[in-house]
Amino acid sequence: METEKKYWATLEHFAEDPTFLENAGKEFISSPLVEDSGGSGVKLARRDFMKLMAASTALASSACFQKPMHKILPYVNQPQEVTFGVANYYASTCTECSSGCGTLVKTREGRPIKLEGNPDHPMNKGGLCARGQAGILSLYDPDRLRYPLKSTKRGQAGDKAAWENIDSEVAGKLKNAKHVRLLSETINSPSTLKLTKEFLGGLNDGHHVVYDAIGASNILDAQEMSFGHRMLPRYKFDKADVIVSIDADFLGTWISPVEFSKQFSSTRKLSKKKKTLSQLITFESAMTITGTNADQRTPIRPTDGLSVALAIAAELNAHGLSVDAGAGEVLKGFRGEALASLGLDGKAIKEAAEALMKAQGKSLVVASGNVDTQVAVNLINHMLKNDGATVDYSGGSLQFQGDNKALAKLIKEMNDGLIDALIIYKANPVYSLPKNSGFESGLAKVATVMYVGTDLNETALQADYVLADHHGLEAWGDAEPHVGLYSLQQPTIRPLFDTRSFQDSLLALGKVGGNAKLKAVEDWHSYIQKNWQDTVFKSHGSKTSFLSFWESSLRDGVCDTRSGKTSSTGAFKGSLKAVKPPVSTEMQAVYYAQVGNHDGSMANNAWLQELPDPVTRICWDNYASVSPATAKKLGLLDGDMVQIKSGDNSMEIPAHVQPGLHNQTIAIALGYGRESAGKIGTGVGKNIFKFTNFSERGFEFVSPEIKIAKTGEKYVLATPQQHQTLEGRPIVKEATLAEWIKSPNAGNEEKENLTTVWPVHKYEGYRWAMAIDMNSCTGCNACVIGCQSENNVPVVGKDGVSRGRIMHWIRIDRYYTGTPDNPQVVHQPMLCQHCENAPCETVCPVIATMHDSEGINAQIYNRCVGTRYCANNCPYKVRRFNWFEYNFGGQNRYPTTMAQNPEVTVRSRGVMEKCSFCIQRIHDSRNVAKNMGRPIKDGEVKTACQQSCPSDAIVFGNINDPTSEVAQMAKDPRAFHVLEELNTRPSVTYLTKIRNGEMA
Amino acid sequence: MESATLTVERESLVSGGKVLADVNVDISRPLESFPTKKWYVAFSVALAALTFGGGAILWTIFNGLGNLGINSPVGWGVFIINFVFWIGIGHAGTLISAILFLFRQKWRTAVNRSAEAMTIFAVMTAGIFPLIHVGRPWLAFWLFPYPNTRGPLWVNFRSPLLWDVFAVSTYLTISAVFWYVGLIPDLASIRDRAKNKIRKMAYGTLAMGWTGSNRHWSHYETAYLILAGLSTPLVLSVHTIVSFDFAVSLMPGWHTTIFPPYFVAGAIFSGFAMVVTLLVLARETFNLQNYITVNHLEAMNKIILLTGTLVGYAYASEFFMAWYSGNPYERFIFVQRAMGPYAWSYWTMISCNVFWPQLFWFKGIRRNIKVMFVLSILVNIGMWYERFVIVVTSLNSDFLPSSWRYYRPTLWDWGVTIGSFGLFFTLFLLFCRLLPVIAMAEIKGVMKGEHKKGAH
Repeated sequence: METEKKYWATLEHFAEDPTFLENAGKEFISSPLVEDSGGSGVKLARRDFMKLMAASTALASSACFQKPMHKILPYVNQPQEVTFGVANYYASTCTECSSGCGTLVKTREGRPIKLEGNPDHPMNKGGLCARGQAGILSLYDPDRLRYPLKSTKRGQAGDKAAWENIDSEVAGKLKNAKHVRLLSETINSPSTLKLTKEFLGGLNDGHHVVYDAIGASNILDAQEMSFGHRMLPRYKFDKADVIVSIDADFLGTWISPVEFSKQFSSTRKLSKKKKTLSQLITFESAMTITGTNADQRTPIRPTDGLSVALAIAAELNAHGLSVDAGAGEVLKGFRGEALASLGLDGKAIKEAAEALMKAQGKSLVVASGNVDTQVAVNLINHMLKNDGATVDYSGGSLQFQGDNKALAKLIKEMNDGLIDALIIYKANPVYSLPKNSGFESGLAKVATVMYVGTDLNETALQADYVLADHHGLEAWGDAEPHVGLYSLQQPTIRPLFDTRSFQDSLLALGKVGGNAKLKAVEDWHSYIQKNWQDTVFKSHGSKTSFLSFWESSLRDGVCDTRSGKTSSTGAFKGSLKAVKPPVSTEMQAVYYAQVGNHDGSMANNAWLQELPDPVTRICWDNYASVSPATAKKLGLLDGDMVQIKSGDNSMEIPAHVQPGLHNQTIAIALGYGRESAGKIGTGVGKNIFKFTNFSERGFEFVSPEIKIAKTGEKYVLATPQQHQTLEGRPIVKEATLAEWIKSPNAGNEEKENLTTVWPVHKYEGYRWAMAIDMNSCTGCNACVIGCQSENNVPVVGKDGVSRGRIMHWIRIDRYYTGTPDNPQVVHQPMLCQHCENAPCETVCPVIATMHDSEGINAQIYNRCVGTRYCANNCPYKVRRFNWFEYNFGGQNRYPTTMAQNPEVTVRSRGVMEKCSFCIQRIHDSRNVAKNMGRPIKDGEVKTACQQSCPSDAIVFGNINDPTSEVAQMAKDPRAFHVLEELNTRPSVTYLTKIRNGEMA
Repeated sequence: MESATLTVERESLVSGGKVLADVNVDISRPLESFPTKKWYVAFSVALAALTFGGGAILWTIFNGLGNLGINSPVGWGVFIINFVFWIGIGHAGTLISAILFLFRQKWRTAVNRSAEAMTIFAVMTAGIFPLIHVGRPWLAFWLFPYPNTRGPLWVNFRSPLLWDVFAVSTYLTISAVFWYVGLIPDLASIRDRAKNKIRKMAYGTLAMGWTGSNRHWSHYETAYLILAGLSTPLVLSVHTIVSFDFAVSLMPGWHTTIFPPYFVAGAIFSGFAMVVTLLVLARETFNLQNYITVNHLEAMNKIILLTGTLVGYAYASEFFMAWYSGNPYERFIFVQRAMGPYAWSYWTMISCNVFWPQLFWFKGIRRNIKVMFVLSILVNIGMWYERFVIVVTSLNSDFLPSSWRYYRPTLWDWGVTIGSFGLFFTLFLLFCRLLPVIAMAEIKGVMKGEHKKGAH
């Protein structure tokens, strides 16, 4: 039986014709795969030919390829939330100081590239200071610690060690130690604090000592003395009509400058409805941006703070505000005639007191002096009934918890040989504690020193074990800057190096050491979650599940459980100390914090080193500022080296002539002179911390007697601005409040009525424009760093700056008016004005700079040959030339380049660059709007400078839309253009500065 | 070419009782003998300067313009100063050969050849600077409008820098052609005197088969006249356009209508001074005192006196306008020039350009070789500083005081400047060795008693 049926298709098939059978298996009779190439005898299929051609062309062209190959590893599974080319933002918390501002971390393809303030955070409301924004560069700092170290000799960098070995060794030593201390900066993280408590609880005599190099210990001590609670109150500058600041730079460096700038600037806005301004009165020894923004500023000697506070209190007392008998007795010595003998300006004090009297309950007095000054300030605020109004005691602030008494005790114990093991976290006391503190000698007596931090700094060099910490952007965390205000910090990148967070280190050490409480903890992330579930979730009273609460908190970055009510504190029970400062004619010194370098912890951050001081406009150095009269007396010019001597300390430092200082004052910035900061920060400037005085009463950033003498040597101070006055030019326009109320175009009367022979540009659709309120801008320089980060602006170094080659696209020009003894100051943000009649556009021979259809003066880098004609012809001098290859060599080592924004071209040598109005951000918004089928909304595009501004001075938008904010501002009677008479027709409008007081 | 029918008997343009035969012998001598020691010394100095400058340029191109002293706000410095300076030097040659030719100034025949050579070398030297002053010199060709594969991208005809490109390249081309056409009869003379084959072939090729026939002369004269006519407007246009680089901008001190005539006068002033410097050297080095006589030099000194005074007038009227205009920025710039941080350069300029040339009012000084040599060098120092004052003082303190900054040239700036002198003198010394420094054919035409009618 036939088992198989045979099917046949054609007769040939049936006949099993061999030709048929041969072709039967083929899909196509004429196959492109096998093709006879005619009679040449070479058989080459067309597709094969194509393949060979393609391959040989590719090979031939790749043979000429010079660039090195970099392997790209694509995602195997693309993460759901990542879209290529689209940035993701994660809410987090700034870790660069303990103010704890909320941030948004902009990431691209899993790589953080920019830090911005979180607009939903009630404290900083979208603003972020220069230091906070520069944190992104610190993440990619090549000099960061890359692995844990174990040192055999103190003072030398240790060798690489494995985490397991470190853990077992350190845990053993901690276990055997009889007295363990943890010394750290303020930790504003509630979960970390809980963890440290539990960790230290498992050790013998474990205690935590908090110390801030530049902190608020004096205020906390004074609060305790005045009211019995060691609590940092929350200051409400937005509720104050009159603010008196005695050396407190609350707009720049004092406690929580971004928060305070937001508050303060809201009181400095003017509109048709709001015709009032707050009045800021300062008494300053150094010159800070708080002083430059003051309506009345009085230069004082560094030791005068207490007398000024007492004199104001005495004046208020004389006006009928009662104090207790003891205080009244003390205040008698600070009234009337006595003031002159103390060398104080009685008139300024009287005026300040009168202004305060009128604003009882709506005024605020702050100071940054010693404990006695703080007590006096507490008394004043108490007398004025500001407690509970502008000084809020409902919960208070946890931003600075440093306790210098505890530190003094610790140092004594260390010197007595009582401490066996010391863990130092983040703080750098070897660098920042004065010589007389005895810390270093004490440290030598501690058997085991462990340092946890991100850098091999001066303190880490003295440690036996260095536990490399994550950068804040790599680690989980939380913060509670105000009691009841919580925020989360989430990692936005996998750790770049073999580091471990401080908290994970504590957990690991606790586990190895057999800590019962930490044994069950899985990891730091789950620890935070658990802690939030137990505390924040409960106090928030959310009705959802914890998981959805956690997720929404993570998304928002912040969880506010504060009541919103302010409360006052009890009766004042402090006692005033009437330490009358010796009225000598000796020079005195004040050591102040600077906006960029602050306490020196970020000294290896090139952006901050190159950020000019807002007032002196000098970068890459600190210097001894003296008043012009004193400079004349001593024969000093800018850059003359001087020898300063105070007690046993002596130092050579360049001098700088600074208008607005008291003639007996020398002002020197802290935070410089790092000996082990890294390639950028080591050896920049001089360490003036060593000159400060440390006692149980805390730090005194003051030397009451200092000798200064010219050495005869010269030194170059790098500054982008060499000329300080306006030369009477109408570049900045200002008026007083009274004048403005009378006529809203006060100070701005002169208007040019100019015509042009050129055809005017037509803008259909959008026309981008900016408006800057000079009244809001405090000159804090946050925008400069925001722009630098957004636009890949290179750093040129001290030599570059001193040769006039700083690259900043936006700069804050600072001009003095009035007399050099006590000048008034204006800060003017200056960036490309995107002129309609742009002088740069006509002169470029290769059309590398063009006007686009939306009013932007665009720079086309790859078309630029670098004639620099455009820069010469720019009246605003905002164009920046790449004199060298700034981006591919030198300081831009791996992984620094990862901080660059992929949306902005990295410019090469020989081309011109300048502000682009953040054109990439406009395109981002345009894409979003287009996808949604709507036009771009007003306020949707925010330039980097505008976004970062802590005082909302910058507005950007479409001026073609008459309802937009920028169009409204451009129509304001206060609106003016810089150099209007040149008929360049800038797109940047400035609003006149209105001073609440006399004009100089 | 017809000479005027009424001729005034003048002192002979060639002294020393030279006859026609002497001309070829005397002028060709440097070409036909081994160079003198003086020449070797001069040449090695020039070559050393050129090498030094070349090194400075190469390193600057390799490392970046940051080598130089320029900064923000002073985006142009010594390179642009040198450019304007050398372009200015290049003015006298064409003026002498073209304008004086058209005005029938016969004394020009002794000096026109070397003046034209100077022009060409000066323009060549000048031409280097715009190329190397750009940030990306390897892309400097983007300034030329030609069909390209970059889009094609076109140039910006509104930019004075582009006008410069046209003006300078046209000027260089016309000057070179003019010079070469004038050289042809002389090249033929040298060919005819040549004693070896290579020499004969080289000069023969360059002479393009010149036989000196009537037909040749007739064509030659016509071509020369046309070229002279073409060159004449260029003398005025080139520096006018160079001045537009400044005048068309809006910088205080630059944006002024006086610039074109002021620049042209300054250019002729410096060009003549350079001719005097070179001719004094040439006649001493090559013993040409009988051809380049004191009379020639005196005539040029008169022009220096005239143009120097014109320049002085321009300085004064600039100041007047700065005051009269009421423009505070303009006023400030001019006060700064005279009294600010760059006062030293301003007063160097004034003394060298206005004060010292006044000595030429005295005939004794006009005819004193040593004094005029020193004065001619002073004039060129002054003219270099004039450009320094213009370029630097306007940029250094313009509108916004916040951006003001002092400009200080670096070693590399000076290196390239020295190199430019090296290049110029190297070329000039080679010219003296390879080509007749005086137009032999033309000088014969102006020798006394040789021709009753007509030139040549």
